[in-house]
Amino acid sequence: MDYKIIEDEVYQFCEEYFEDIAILSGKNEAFTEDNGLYIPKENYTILVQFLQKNFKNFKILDPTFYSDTLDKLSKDLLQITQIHAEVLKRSQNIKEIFESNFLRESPTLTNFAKNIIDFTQLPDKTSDELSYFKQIQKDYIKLQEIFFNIFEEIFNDDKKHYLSTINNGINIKSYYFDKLLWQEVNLSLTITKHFSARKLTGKLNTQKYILFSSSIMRPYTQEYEYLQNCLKVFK
Amino acid sequence: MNDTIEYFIEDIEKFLKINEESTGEESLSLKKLLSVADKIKIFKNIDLLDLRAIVYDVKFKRYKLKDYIVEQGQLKKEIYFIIDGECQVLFNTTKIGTLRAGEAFGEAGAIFGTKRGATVICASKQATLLSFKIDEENIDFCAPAIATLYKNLAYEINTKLNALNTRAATKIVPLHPS
Repeated sequence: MDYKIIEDEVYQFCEEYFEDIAILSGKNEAFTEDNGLYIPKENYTILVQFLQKNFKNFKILDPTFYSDTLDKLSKDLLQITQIHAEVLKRSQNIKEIFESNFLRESPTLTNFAKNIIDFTQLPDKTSDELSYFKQIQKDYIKLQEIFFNIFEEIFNDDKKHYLSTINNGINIKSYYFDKLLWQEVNLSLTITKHFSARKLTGKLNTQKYILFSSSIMRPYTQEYEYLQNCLKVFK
Repeated sequence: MNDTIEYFIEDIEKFLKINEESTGEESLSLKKLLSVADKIKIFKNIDLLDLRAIVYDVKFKRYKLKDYIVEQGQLKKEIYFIIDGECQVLFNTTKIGTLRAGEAFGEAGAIFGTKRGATVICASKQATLLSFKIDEENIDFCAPAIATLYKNLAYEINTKLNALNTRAATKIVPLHPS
């Protein structure tokens, strides 16, 4: 069996399976490169939940608090994180994907399976033919194993690559969301006065805000632990 | 799949302004680091352009008396250079040394990814330090600089080991001949 034939079939399958993600990750990469965006070394993706929640809260606190760019970043992040989660979920069980999807689509394996089915339907088989049939059944199982090993490697590589580029996109947009959010917050008199009355003064940012909120929070709750993890971005 | 969000020129301009502001802050501290690079032993024989490519997150940090700069057992990536002031080095709460302006610390833990071997606290009324990290992921472009950095670090560690051995040897009491 020529391994190139197997690889081509697997690449073809993966290209179709990950088509939507490939388009999204390509757009994200192009967006970053074309606009010279900064790629943070820190992991800003952890801040998404914090930023989305506080963006909503600030809009409630100050009804005039509005920024078209922040709105776009918020919606964009919501979409990309949902897509990332969906892809992660649907591509988790490789064995199942191989058996339910790939086996039906692989020309080599479907032809082989069809030949086996056709053979079983032949009447009056001789003992030699029956031995031969047992042999090709074993060959079919072995061929499936070979296919699966190659499928697993290529599928995992593609999955890792696409998830990584989408994650990179989330990281970059979270970085800008964080910076822009506090830029706008510091321009809002209503919000800054609100915090100043609670003794949170000066130029506000995520780090300062988390240190302030977690100091008046009960420690070791889920929220407290989450905020402590967010702080690691700035350490 | 949902429609992709479209960013306009005014949105991109906001992002680029953030880039400018961030690099503005860092460029001052980076300039200072490059100006004192000759005093930092692990940077010996590294070209300043390469150095600029392998360091990142360069910041000025100010500490007051007894502020903790580095804690024993922590896993951190920062290397520090003392611009002015004094720091004390403590091992398990015992003072084992003093660091002064012009000295650097934290290299081994940062580069080898090991836990901090000692605690460093501010021992003067005020101390100003530069903190920075080494970008080892830039290895494709800066492999020679990273290699020199590791070699310098190995040399420093070897020097410290020799000093320790010498000190230990002078404390050994020779056996009386029987």
